[in-house]
Amino acid sequence: MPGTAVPDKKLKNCAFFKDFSEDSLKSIAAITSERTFPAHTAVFQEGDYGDSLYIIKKGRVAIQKKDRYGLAVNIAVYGEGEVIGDMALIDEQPRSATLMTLEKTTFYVIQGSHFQLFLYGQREVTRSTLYLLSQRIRNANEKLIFNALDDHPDMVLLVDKDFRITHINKEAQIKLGISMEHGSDGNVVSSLRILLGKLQTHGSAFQRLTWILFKPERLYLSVHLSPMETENGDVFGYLIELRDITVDRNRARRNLEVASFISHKIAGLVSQIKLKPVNGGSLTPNPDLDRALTIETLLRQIDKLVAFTDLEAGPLRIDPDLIDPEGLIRKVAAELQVLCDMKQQKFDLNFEFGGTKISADEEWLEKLFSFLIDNAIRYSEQGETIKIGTFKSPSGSFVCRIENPTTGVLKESECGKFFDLSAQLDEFEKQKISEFGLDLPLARHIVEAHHGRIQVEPNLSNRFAVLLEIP
Amino acid sequence: MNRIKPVKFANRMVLKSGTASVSLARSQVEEFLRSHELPGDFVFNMALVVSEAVANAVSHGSNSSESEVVLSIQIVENSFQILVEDFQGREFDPEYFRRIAMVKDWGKGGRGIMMMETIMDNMSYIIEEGRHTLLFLEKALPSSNS
Repeated sequence: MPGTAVPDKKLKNCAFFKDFSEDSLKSIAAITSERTFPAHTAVFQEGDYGDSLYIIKKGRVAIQKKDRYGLAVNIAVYGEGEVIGDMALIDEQPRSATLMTLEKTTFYVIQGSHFQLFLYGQREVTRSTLYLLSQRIRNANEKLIFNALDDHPDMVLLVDKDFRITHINKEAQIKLGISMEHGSDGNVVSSLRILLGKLQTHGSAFQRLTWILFKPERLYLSVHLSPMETENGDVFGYLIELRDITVDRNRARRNLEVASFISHKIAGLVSQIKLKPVNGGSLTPNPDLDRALTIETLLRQIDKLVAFTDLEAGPLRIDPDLIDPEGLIRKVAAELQVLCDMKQQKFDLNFEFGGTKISADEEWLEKLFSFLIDNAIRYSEQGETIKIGTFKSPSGSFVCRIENPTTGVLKESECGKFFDLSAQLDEFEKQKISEFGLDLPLARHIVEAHHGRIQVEPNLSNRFAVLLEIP
Repeated sequence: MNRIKPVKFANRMVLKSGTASVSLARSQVEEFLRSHELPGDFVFNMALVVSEAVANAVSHGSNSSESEVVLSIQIVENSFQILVEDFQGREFDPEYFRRIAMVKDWGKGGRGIMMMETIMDNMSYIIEEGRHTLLFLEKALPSSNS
């Protein structure tokens, strides 16, 4: 449908042209045509080449983009006086979106090449066009960001620079019970205001922030704050991510099972304590037991059983790329040096991971090394050397090997039993072993929680070596 | 949506981190609520909750006698709000205390948290590990004919 030339008076009525001088309007009118499209017609499609500028004289249109399922999503709706297609004037790239009429719509159309020629001599137009473009890009980007945020699996809030909420994504609306339209709904709003106050006061200068909501239901949320900046580096708002670290129901049920299992085992252990008179006391040893489980041993085992429940109960707090595993090994070795000294043992540390940092839970990683090194010390004889080495796997993962002397050769079929808590407890109850080792089952638990793997090396002569890998 | 914005408390008092701060906090809250002519049982419950919250902050939060606990209270839109803050505290895991309290009567802290949770309409912690713990509590004011 060919366009028709437009009188400059008509352009004057359009908001986009209202600040233009008479001379400019005359020039633009000469290169502007008028075109009308029926409702629900694609004026141009995403990916098309074209450089025309469309100004809506009358009607309503939608700017559409395809979502990840290929369905058209409206990212903006425009009406009378608004300008579309401006991006193509600047970057000469294919259309970044589809222009769809929502009703019968009439446009003023300016061909891009004509418009560019005109722009060279028109400073006022350039200014208003640039302003329009910057606004448009920002609005479109915001809309795209909102759409992306609504697909985000975590709760996300956007706030302005004064920490007033401007957007709450779907996940947050559902979990926190706050609706976009009625911001004050839900019990959580008062608490949310406190959180915003905390964030406003302290900014992003915190390492770990946890928000625990007790009502209407218990929610443990890890809070992450990221400033949003303009190209000039000015902060115009913040993105608040709330990661749900609440133990889910299945996990909670499993925790109960683990807790029940462990409390049963502890009760069994307590019944086997051979009590000794302390400070002249009159405690009577249990005459039915031919082996003693000292209170010290019992407490050590209970500590580790409690560690099991803690690990089951609380999710890992994994810091991305912040943990120096070799630094942690040094720290643990220094703490356990006193035990080594008592047995005239020594450490042989050989670090080849090169101080690289990994994503891990620092607290649990420290416990892991503590369990393994403590284990190596206790199962080594006087005067022996405990070798601790680190290196990089071909895929770049952190690998650690802890070796201590022992007697005999461990067959491959025997290596798995060290990591199996239930099997060890069963053997202990059947009095096949005098003390069960919780270090390696716990170590496996921690390593697997980090998506790593751990094993005892088979077929070593007179040596016991644990090898672990954390990606 | 504009209604959700950071909150600032009207009444804020800094308490030295000692056991005397608990009774001071309690009497301040009682006085504040009585001045608003609120019923005796409401005042009693709120004073109980504030005592517990401040005691927790003092015993769990502070590493030295020089540390401070900040108590803020206000009445906003028919609800009484309490904010208790402590600084430079040890790591504090309320869930751990609660778990202990439910399993066995081993510790005071867990029972206190359960008590506060039962009495209050709204309760949340904001924990910046090792630096700042903030406990927010809220209770709707009793209606005048109740």
